[in-house]
Amino acid sequence: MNARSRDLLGSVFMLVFVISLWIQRDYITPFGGIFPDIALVGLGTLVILTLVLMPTSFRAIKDETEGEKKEKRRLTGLIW
Amino acid sequence: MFDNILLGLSHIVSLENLLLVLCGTVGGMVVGSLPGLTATMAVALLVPFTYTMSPVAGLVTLGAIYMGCIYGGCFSAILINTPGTPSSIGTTFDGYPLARQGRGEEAIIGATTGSAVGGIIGTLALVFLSPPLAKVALSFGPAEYFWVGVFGLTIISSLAAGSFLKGITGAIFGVVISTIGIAPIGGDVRFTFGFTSMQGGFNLIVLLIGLFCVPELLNMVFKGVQNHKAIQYTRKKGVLWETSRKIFSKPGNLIRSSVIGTIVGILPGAGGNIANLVAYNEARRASKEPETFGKGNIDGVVATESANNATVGGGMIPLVTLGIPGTPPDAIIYGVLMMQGLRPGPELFAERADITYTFMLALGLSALVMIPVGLYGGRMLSRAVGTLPPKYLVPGIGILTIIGSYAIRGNFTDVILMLMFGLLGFGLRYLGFQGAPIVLGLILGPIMEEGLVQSFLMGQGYSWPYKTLFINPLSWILIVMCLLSFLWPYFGQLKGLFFKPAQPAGNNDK
Repeated sequence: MNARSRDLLGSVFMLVFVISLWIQRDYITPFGGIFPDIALVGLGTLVILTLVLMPTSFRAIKDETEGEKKEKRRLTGLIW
Repeated sequence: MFDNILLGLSHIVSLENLLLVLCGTVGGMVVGSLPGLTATMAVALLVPFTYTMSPVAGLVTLGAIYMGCIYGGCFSAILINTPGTPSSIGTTFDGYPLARQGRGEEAIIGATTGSAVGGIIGTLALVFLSPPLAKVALSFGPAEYFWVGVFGLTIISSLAAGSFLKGITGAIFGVVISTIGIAPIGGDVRFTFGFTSMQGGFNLIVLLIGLFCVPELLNMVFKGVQNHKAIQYTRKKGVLWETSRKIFSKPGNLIRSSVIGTIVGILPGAGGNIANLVAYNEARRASKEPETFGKGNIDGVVATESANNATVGGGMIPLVTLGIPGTPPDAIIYGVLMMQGLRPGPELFAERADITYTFMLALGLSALVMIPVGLYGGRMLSRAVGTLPPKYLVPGIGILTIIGSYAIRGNFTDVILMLMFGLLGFGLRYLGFQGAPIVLGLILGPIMEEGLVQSFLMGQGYSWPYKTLFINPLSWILIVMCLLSFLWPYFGQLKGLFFKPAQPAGNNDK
């Protein structure tokens, strides 16, 4: 799977996660939702930003060049 | 402070603690020398063995395992050109060429000396810097704790492998998971999907075992584990003395690398894997013969090994003073502290100084123990690295993860949760989200929530209740630190925009 597809899949997963928690919001006290709401909105915003940046050169993960792949294999892939 | 150091010394010299330090260091060395097993994995897997121990004995053992594991990575790095842990990547650059030249013993002596000195300097920084920092932390109110949490999240995202956006998204994902269960203030039950077993939230150790161990195991399964042939070395007369003389004739390399390791360790999320490469680079830059680096220069081995062991003590500084783990293994030690009823932060020094100082000094003792164990037991370890059949590793570690997560509360649900989070961690890693930011988000989430909600309650008298987050000058210092760490990944790009490198004269190629 290339970097763009992984980026897309990751964003979709996060978006589903955010939505599934958002629809469960049912706070009894006025303090219970202060922090989770900010965190959920923050996570949602970051996911949307990732999706927006995906077609541009600023996208979150980039495809590795053959040289980078080789270097990575040499440094960490060696372990396996 | 000195009374507490003496108190810690009196505890650490007990026969039980000395034996635990010895066993922990040796155990850590063995695990660390096995390619593919990280220090985080070793500490997470061995946590269950400390459940039945007293808090001090458990922490002493885990500290020694951590220190031994970081050092143990050098054996496979030097003898089979494969870093035992990511902290030893830089050691392969010069360690393996030395071993191939028949100077393996020299490389091991260099690594051992560097690790011991780095470990001791990191511990000294921990012992002498933590109490004054804890005093500063005592002046922190809810608003400052909130900003400390934000700072931890932004800095780990900047330093995490991969992109900043993925790092910060992973960290906030961890924060959101931490909000599942009963709210710390108000008692709201949140996001449980109707499962009563989720009301108490998730056990941190279960999550840590799942997120750190299972993805590594699955990696081993999918990519396969190779048998490695280690270069054997023989002990030669006079090499120990000659190499030690050579190393100590350049104290600058030892001290610089250890200081780099300590500072990198203090930064949340940056551990030995970053410190060893930074120290290697600095050692090469400072050397009079930089061209020999990469071809078998002992200074390269000394630099990487002193830096990675110094991160052990350095990483504990934010943990014991603020409750923010500096490195992933510290996150596990954080979980153990919480499990033992000890809240990391300034209270540790005020209320449980005996445990805190004994634990800190145990790290230094473990660094000292590495010298005889490494120099005289290193050959046996190097043989073990080459002969242990890798096919037993995956099932062995798999069983340990299951036992470990079950033993926490004797609850099979924890095992299922561990496996679920393990699969989730493996999938997320593939999609570009690393485990370290998620875990830090999990730990910092409750700290940030308490800080934010308490600040909100304190600010009820203002027209805007969140104003309390911006009143104290300490808060502003932390806000500036947050902004700097947030912008850090873009500094390089901005530098490139404004300071374009000059074209070499006469280069008119288009």
